[in-house]
Amino acid sequence: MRNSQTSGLDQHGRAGVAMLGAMQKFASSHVRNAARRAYEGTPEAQATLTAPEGADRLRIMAWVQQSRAIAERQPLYRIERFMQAYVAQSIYEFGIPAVEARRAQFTAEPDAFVDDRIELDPDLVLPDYHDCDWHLRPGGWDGYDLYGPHGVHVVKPIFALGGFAAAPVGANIGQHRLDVVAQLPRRDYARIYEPGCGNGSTLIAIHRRFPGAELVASDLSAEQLRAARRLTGTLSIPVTLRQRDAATDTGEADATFDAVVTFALHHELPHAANVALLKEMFRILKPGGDIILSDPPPFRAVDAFHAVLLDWDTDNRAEPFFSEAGASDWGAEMERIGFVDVTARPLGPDSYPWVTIARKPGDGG
Amino acid sequence: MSNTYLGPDNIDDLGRMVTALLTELWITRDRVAVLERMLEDKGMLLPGEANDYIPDAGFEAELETLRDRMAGNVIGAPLAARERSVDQILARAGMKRPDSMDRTA
Repeated sequence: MRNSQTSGLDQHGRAGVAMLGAMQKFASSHVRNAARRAYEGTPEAQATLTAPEGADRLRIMAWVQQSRAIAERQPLYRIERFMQAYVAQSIYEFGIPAVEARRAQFTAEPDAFVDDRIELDPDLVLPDYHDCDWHLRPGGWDGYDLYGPHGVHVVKPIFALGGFAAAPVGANIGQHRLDVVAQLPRRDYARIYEPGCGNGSTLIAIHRRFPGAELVASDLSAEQLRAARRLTGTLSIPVTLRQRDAATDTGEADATFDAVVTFALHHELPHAANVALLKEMFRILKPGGDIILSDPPPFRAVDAFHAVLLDWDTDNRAEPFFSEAGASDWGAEMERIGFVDVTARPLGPDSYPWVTIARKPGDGG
Repeated sequence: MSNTYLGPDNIDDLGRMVTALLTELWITRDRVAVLERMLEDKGMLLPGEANDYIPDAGFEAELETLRDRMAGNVIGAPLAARERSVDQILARAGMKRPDSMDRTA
């Protein structure tokens, strides 16, 4: 199933965005496949195709770095990565003017209800790691007031045509979200929490799967929360949106949620913040409550060439914690926190998305 | 004066310039296709119409085929020097021989 697209850009913007998607598609399929063949054709790569068994984070990273050194000697790998970098930069270099050209249209959309239905926290102290031009986004999440429509009319179509980062060509991110929430073991959750909700896309999937559940979501970014409000408001999905640092204090009471869902969040946090976030989710879950994490696959679950591609994002696509997350084992961390019945598995091609499911012990009924 | 200005560390810059030109070339090619389609459909154009035109699903699929070919011809140029079987050439163009064909032919 393809993502359906209706561009709100003018012809120049629509066609340019589509070509960026076509470049991404060709680079991530034909060029990447040829680069992989060249890589795997070297004797040194043959000796290190899979992660060392039972390795810790340091040994995993040593394996990835060794594999990267082999890959970087391959011309086709360099061409493929050049195209990835070019498209990632052009999403903003080309995309921001394309959205700006339609400012009047995008700012005319009804959003009078936006701010007064979000609990913004003017006293919130943003963690240092939040100060980053995420994904090469100038100014970070709140750096441009039209990043909401930019996400819909620039990022989404490029993603739909060519995949992006960990998501392969043909990946349907909307379907991924539905597939992820469908892994939760029950259908009768009364209250569900999503930390790091971003623009609210996962909330749509949660609501579709659990239409009777009360949804509460948080994010550090006020601009992303506004985008989430517009999206969920347009679709008449009731949700409480709060500006919170979910890795320190959600502000929610102990044991008040039946389930927690995260989507593409953990690679955006340093390891210590991830552990703190998981502890906070443990605290707000009711006994017997379920949690599902969804993120790119850990390095240990993919082959060397794939691990090199994932690791590349850390230094080249403004994903400062991508490798830290890739070398981690969230299931093991959750067991240390006290979660039980931990399982982890891939849901789609290239092991994406990768889900980890666990439960807080006890009988919450 | 040597009339030489670029150095080896400008190779990436040249790559960016070529790739940016590909985007601009496609925008023009897309515009031509849109104008042709609008003239076929209505026989006339009103000011601003082409700018606001949104292809329907069928036309978008046709555009995607053209676009993928163009992207493949430009970005796939390095592959053309390395992977030269008929099936590889066709695959880069989004095509393939009928399954019944003898691959040794």
